[in-house]
Amino acid sequence: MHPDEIIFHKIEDYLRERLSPQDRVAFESDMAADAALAALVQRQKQEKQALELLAERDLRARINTWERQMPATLAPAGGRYRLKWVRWAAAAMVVFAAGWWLIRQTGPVEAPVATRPETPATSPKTAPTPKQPERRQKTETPKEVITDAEKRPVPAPKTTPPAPVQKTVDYAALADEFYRERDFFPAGQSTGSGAAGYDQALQDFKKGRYSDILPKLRPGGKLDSKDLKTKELLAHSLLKSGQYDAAIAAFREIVNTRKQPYADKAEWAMALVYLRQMPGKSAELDRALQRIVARPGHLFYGSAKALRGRVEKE
Amino acid sequence: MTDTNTQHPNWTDETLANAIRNGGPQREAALQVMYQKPGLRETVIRFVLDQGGNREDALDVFQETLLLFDRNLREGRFEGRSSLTTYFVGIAKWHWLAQRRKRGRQTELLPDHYDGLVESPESEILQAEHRGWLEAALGRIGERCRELLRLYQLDYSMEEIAQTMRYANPDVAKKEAYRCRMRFRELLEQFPQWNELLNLK
Repeated sequence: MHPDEIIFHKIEDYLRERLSPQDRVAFESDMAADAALAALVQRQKQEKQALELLAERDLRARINTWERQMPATLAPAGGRYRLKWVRWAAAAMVVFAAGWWLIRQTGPVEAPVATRPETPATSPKTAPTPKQPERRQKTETPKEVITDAEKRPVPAPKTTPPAPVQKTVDYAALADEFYRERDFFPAGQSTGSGAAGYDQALQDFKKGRYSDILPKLRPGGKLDSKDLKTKELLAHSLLKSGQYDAAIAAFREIVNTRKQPYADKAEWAMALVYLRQMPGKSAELDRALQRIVARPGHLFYGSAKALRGRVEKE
Repeated sequence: MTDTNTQHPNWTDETLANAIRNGGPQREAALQVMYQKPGLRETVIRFVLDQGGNREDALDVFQETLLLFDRNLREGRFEGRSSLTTYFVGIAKWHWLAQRRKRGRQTELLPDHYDGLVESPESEILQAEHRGWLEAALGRIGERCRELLRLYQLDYSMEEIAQTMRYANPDVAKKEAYRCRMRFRELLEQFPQWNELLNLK
C-alpha cells in the first residue's frame, strides 16, 4: 500500500473514532508536532462533511418511501380526515358485501365480478396521497363477510375478471408535457447586447443541437458567474442532453443567486429534472414542488400545483 | 425497510442510538423506527403550529429533524443525557425557531431549544450556498464512486461494501474507496469556494 494511502486510512480511522485510546493519543501528539499532518486531517474532515450530502440524499429518498408506506393514522396532514375516509370506506364495503349476500339469498344470479373498493371521487383536500398504502388495502377488505358468502352454493361466474394490469407512469412524458420551452426562452429572445455566442447557442438549443452549445457558451472553458442568462441556457442544455446531475447543480447555482426571474425559472426547471428521474427522485421532486407551492407569488406556482396534483393522481 | 424493522421487539433508546451511530444496514431500520414512532410526529407538528407555522412547515421540520438527528448521532453529539424522543423534539424546536429567525421573525431561542444541538463549524459547508458546487462535484464523480462513497460515509464495513458493490474482496473495496476519495478531492479542488472554505478554517 502506498504511504499516502496508509495515512489516508489512518486519518479516516481517527475521524471515525476507530482508533484505540492509546493510538488516538499517539496520533494527536503526532498532529501537534506535524503541521502538515494536522492540515491533512482538517482537509479530510471537511471532505467527510461534504460527503454528508450523499447520506442526506439517501435518507430523503427513504423518508419518501416511508411516507408512502405509512398507515392513515400516522398521516402527516389531515390525519383525522384520512381516518374518517377509512371508516367511510369500511362502512361502504360492509354495505356492499351485505347487499351481495342478500342478492344471492334471493335467487341464483350471475356472480358479480370482484372489484376493488373505489376511491371516493371527493377525497378530502387534506389527504394529499392518493395511493393507498398496501397495508391499508389489506386491513380494509372485509374478508369474513366475503368468505361467508363464498361458502354458499353459487353458480360459477360466467366471465373471468381480467388480469389486473400493472399501471406504469410515463414520467418522461409527463415531464415533456410540463416542460414548455417558451416559459424559459420566449420567442424572439436574444441577449440584445450583441453576444453572438449566446444567440448562436440559443438557436442550436431550439434546433435540438445540444452538444454544439457548450463550446459556444464557454469557449475558454469558463463561464461568467454573473451571466445568468447564459448559465440558464447551459443548464437547460444539460437537462436536454440527459446530464441530470450537472443540470441540477447548474440550476441550483442560479436559484442560490435569488435573482428573478432566473431563480424562479431555475427552481421550476429543477422540479422538472427530478420529474424526469422519477420514481428514483420522488423525495427531491416532492420537496422542489413543496418549495414552489409554499410561495403563491412564485412564477410557476400554478404549474407546480398542477404538476403536484398530477403526480399524486398517477 | 419492511414492517419487521419497525416491529423489532428489542428496540430501546440504547439499541436505536447504537444502530444509528454504528451506521451500516441497521441504521436505516433504526431511523425508520424513529420516523414512525407513535406520537413523535404529532408532538413536532403541534409545536410548529403553536409557533406560527403551517402544516407544510411542520412536516418539513419533522423530516429535516430526522436528517439532523441522524447526523448528530453519527457524529457522536448525542451524549445520552435525555431520551431519544426528547432529543429529537429538542432538535425539531431548535430547527423551527432557527428557521423562523431566518425568515425575519423574532423568536427567542431558549437554552432548552438548542442545548447541545448547535451545528459544528464543519457542517456549515452543507449550508445552502455551498450545496450547488458540492452537488456539482458529486455529479462528476461517477455513479459507482458515488455509491461507494455513500456506503463508506454511512460506515458500512469493507466486507459489506465489497458484497454490495460486487468487489472481489474487502481489500479491493478499500483500494477503490481511496481512489474515489482522491478523485473527489481533485474535483473539489477545482472549485475556488472549496479552497476558500479550507483557508477559513
